Amino acid sequence: MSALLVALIAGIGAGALYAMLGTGIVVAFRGSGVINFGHGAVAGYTAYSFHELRVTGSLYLPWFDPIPEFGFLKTLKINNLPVRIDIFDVTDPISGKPNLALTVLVCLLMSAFLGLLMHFLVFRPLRNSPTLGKVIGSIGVFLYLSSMMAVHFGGQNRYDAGFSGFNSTAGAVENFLGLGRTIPRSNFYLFGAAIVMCVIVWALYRFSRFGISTRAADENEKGAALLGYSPQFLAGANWVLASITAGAAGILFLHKTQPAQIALFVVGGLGAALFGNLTSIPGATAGGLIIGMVASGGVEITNYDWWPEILPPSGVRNFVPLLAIILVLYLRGDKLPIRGSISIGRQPRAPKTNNVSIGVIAALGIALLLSNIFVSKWEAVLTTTLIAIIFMYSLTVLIGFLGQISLVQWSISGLAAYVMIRLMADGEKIRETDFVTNSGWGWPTVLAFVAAIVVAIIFGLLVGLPALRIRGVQLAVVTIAAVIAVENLLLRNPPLMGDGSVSVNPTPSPNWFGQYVGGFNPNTARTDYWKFSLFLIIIAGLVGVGVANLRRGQIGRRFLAIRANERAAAAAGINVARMKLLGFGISSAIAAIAGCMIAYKLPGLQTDQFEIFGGLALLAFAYLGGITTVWGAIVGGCLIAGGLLPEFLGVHFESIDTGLINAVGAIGLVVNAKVTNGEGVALLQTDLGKNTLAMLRRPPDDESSENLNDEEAKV
Amino acid sequence: MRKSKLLKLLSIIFAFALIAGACGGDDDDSGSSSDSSVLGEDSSEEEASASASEPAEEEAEEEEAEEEAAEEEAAGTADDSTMGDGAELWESIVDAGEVAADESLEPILITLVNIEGTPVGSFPEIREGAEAAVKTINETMGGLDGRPFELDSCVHGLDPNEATACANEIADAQPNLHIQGIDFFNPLLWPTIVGAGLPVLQTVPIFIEDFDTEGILSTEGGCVSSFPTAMEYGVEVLEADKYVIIYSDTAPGLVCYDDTERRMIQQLTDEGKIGQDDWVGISDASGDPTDNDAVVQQVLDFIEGSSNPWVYFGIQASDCNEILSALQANGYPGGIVASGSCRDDSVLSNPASAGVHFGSNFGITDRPDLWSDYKIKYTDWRDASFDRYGPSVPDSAFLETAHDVVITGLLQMIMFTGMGGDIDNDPEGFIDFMAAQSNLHRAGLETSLNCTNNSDEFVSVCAKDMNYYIWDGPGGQFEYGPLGPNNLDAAELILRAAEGNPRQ
Amino acid sequence: MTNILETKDLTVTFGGLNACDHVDLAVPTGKFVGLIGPNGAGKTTFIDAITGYVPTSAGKAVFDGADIGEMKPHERAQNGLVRTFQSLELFEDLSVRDNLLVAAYPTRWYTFISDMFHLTKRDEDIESRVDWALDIMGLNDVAESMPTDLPHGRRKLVGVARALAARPKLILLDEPAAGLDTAESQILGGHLREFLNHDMSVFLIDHDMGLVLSVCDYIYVLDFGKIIASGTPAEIRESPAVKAAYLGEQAGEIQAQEGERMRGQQQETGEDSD
Repeated sequence: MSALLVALIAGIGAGALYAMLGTGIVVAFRGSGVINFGHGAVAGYTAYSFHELRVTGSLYLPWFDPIPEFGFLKTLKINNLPVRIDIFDVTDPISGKPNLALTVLVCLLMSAFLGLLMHFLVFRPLRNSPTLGKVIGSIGVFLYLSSMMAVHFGGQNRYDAGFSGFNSTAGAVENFLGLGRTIPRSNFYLFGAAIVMCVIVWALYRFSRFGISTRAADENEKGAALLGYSPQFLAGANWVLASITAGAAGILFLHKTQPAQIALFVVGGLGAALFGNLTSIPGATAGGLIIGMVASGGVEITNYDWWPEILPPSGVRNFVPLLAIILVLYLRGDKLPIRGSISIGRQPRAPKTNNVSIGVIAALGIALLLSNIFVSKWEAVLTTTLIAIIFMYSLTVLIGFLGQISLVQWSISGLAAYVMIRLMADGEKIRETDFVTNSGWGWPTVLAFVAAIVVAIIFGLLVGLPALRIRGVQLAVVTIAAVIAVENLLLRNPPLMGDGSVSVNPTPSPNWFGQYVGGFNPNTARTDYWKFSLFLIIIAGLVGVGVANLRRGQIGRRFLAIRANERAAAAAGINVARMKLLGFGISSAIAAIAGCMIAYKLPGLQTDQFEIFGGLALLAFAYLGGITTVWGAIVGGCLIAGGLLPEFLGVHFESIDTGLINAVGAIGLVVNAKVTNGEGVALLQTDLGKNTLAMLRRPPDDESSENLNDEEAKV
Repeated sequence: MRKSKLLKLLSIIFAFALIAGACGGDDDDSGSSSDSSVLGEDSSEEEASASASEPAEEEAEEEEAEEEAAEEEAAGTADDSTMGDGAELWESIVDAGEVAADESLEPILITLVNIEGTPVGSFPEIREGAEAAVKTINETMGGLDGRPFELDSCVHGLDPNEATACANEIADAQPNLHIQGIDFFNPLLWPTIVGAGLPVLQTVPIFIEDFDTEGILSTEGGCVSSFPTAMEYGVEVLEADKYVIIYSDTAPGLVCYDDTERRMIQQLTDEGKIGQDDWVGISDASGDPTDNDAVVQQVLDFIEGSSNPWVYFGIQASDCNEILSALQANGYPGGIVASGSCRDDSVLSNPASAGVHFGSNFGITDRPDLWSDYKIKYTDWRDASFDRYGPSVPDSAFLETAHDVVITGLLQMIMFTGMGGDIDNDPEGFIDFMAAQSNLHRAGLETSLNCTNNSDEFVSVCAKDMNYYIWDGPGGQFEYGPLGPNNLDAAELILRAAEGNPRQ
Repeated sequence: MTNILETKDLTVTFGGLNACDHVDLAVPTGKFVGLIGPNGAGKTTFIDAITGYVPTSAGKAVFDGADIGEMKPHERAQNGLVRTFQSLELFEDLSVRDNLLVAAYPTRWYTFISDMFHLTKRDEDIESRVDWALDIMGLNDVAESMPTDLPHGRRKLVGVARALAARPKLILLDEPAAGLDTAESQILGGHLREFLNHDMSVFLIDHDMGLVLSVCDYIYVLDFGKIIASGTPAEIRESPAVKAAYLGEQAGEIQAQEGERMRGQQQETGEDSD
């Protein structure tokens, strides 16, 4: 028992990090109504900057030189957008290291600068966008800063001695509380730091005019304007404050963890912020500490003999606190804060896809053509694209039509794939190179396929339940908890999913009606089997037509009605709860189909493949293509890494500097969120076509041609 | 639709960025990438492996090395009998002076698959190391009988679909030799690459499939050399009375623990060398800062009352740092052994790393005064090779590994064709030739590798030995450990444990 | 004569304040009943309560012979108790016609399947009902437009048309005339009585005294959550309690309106249909 107690208390050290991140997330939310998925990346970038300054004295600005040293540009030497500034002279003979206080100051200024950039370049332009646009914007921030970290700092591990007392040299408190065990002294200092940050930020909100105005703006932006601050000034100031707290957390924890990883700890920070109901600073701090404590104490509990094997320890440790938060949120339901705002923003248009049959014939024709003329590499690229398209259809239904932001659909794909593998496995080695052989029930392909979809639907409905009470961005955060549940509790669970689940999970050979339709061709050893391509083309076509028809039909109308206005939808006799569950169910079924197709294609699967950030990237590309239309999903599928378009470009430009591609993609996301409001490239092109036609009919005037140039530059 | 000025500016930046992204890759030294990672001395091991052991990082004081090399050059420094067949061949080529390959002859095609540009892992140093080696081969070593080398790299991001597309491309290209870079999806590539019958040399093996797939060869042992030797080292050399093994709960980490740690130490237990209750495995959640103190609590519980406790971990460097700090912060009194995968700059600058025994099968790091003349000469030559190529990334273990693996490939090809082998039409013969070597020279390595005593389960691993060197602490240097200069060979242990392998 | 809607002691409490205080009210089947009251009297709260948008703390509501206290808003709507909203609450991403179709078509559990295969049949009966609703609200020319492209007044009419398309037994109109211009008011006012010919009863809340007095068969007056008077328009006009609570306050406003609108006066005599 004392061991458990000590383990719980020791968790305040790591909990302090979550508490600090949670505090910053709350600050940003109160200031602008945005939940910032990139908050941890801000902390990580600042931590890297700190270490870089201490060691080399250089400060890297958060952008890259966009002008390549290329051809005549090289000769002209105009590629001088400053990226690196040498601030300190590290050859200083006395200490060899720059002044600590000064370095900290520069780094906090850096994080404040990041906050300003986020405000002015991302969230201010998106202030009138719907929730989804803001979520996408913050995903863009995450992707951009992550790739800047890789480009500037190489994403490498860093170690810094940290600050005396906060690091491991502080020693341990022996025999803590007479429990006979030790706790590192630094944990208490880190805990203290989190509390101090909490008190400072809380007091700032409570007593300063700035804080009071922010709270007023929280309720009603017009109210804040009356107090003499413009809402946008307040938002900017809160972004700066939030980023400074992130930077402080990054610097303080540099000795304890890796800067590249802090970006991923944002999930724990979000949990903390939810605990504080997204508005309470003390609540978020307490939440972070509790998450840290439960996670730490869980190590002890899950090592007890009675702990059932079917509950994977690390999954339980990380999921249980989040589950508790979800339950609280669910029970409080409608009382959740929906931040007051002058305008909520127009949802992206979701026009019907007419001429479905013509489109299908054209798309299938092109796909078939490609599958026949391409060499095997292109066959693999084509199937990658098709699977991504199928997956994106699930986002089209759930996010585009129904307006429910779920980040768990990619995990559901993984769940379905793993269930199918388990059901089909029969303990036989499938390929020579397999290391693991899965035991299972040896079900026939079609039956396992259907069963996997059923499991996915059930899980999707389970995730959909909170959606009946929780809306918008809160729902998005809640679905992250579901991601953790799927990955750590269901997928990486040998008793449930078989031995392969904690290794490379070998996929079985699918056999539909006597035909082998796996991607791996056993005769040539290539992943290019033509029957799989054909099968996939048919599946993608069927699902695409189904989704397009759904939009044209009654259910599509009802989904859009709910997306627009749940109150009015209920008044029109729509059972909103049932429709939402239907949406989650349909979307999960489609995601499950995509998951099974991945299993058909690849020789083996890994759980990491279905982690949250992979799903975010897919959502981002679906958004880029157009989240509200079938064509958008098709364009998005062609855009993903490894899809047709980048691979096509890759052929022509030898090797693309992929580190920058991510950054460019992130910028593209934010610009797209602002310019097309998530209608994406697909609709933009349609509009462009219509506008051009209209322009041809009448003499062109200045403005329309100007617009055209703009759009060309962006696409 | 009227747009603000800000948006116009953004769109212009975006357009430029697209061009930059598209064209930037043409020249590796270009634009933004040139000023990146000025600091990094060692390559990132983020996620790379729970298991990959990593070669020593050799940053010799160049001048000193050069002098010594010059003195020894005439005498001949390489000796096939200790360093493996091919060491003397390398020296004879190098000593013969610079000869360029004949560009008019049909090139020898080498392919490479590698992960680059993702937030969790990017290893351009692997590609650049291979490119440097190819350039040196073509400009100074005369290629293979005058035929130049051509390197075709398929670089991809963090996506298994891209990895399989690369595998297809490689299989279509039918290279003379495939070099497998760092890839988190290796097991998905093997069916295609091995199925296409290509000769394969690995740089940094990660997954268990990388060790147990027939037809691929690894001159590095990964967890198969690190972990069994670590078990022997702790039990037989250090004679720990309590031995704690901390392992990572990632996919490769779990499998490596089961098959190369737990089973090996169980074998030693069954042989009566350590008590069943005197060792324990404790898992650590990878990349999770919340569990370290609790994990260390369990360590402290387990070693209570012990007079000679040791902790071993072979996890990725970021976790090593966390565990080291947590051990120190909780006042852990015993000794620590860590795998080579733990050793990066960040770990070595952690004060808690003082006194840790780090594994390496590439000799002692940064101690030219303890190196053989051959190693000094080779290191010097390799530095010249990098200077000729001009890598955009700083010198690192991965850069050197990739370089040396390509050189090893060249030496193998020369020996194979010297014996009458047909490198263009007989890939099977070349695979068999490499796999049949009991005295294989891995370029730059002072000891030879044996590929004939590989166990059935780890059929592709030729390197099964390792030494442990003691780190003085930040700012210090490595010292010989209890093994002195001699490596500990775990081949026997692996074979003994294989008899009871439940997976066979 | 039966009552389509009947409330007994209906009470809604917001933080100790009774927004509706023991309201007893009945809408006879096939009749046109109005509810008036000054701002903040609790009129909209009353509609919210009987349509299930706010919970009632006491009392009960009986619709079409059944206690609807436990029903969800959409169930009440499906049973024929259909409301409109004071503010615009349209489905902005759907065309005007689709806005109506959403409310007009019923959904079965299998609809999504037949939708996916584009097999869901067009129900001519429902389509003609929608056409009628569009027609009566003068929206034929904009049926395929998006609501956001319409002027404010016409959007309000879309809301009314949407409620009509749902085939209500009782339609609850929450200030349908607010924000309409003269022409739109005439369309609305001119057709309100016509609703009764299509198997429905009407319950109207409006600020426009002239409109309410002109079209209703029976009128309730609400003030501070309590019914302070009820009766035929003639009785209400004479009621001293109403004058005190409401008409006095509003008198100036009404006179100002009369200058620009003649309709109220023209139809004031048309209250004889019983």
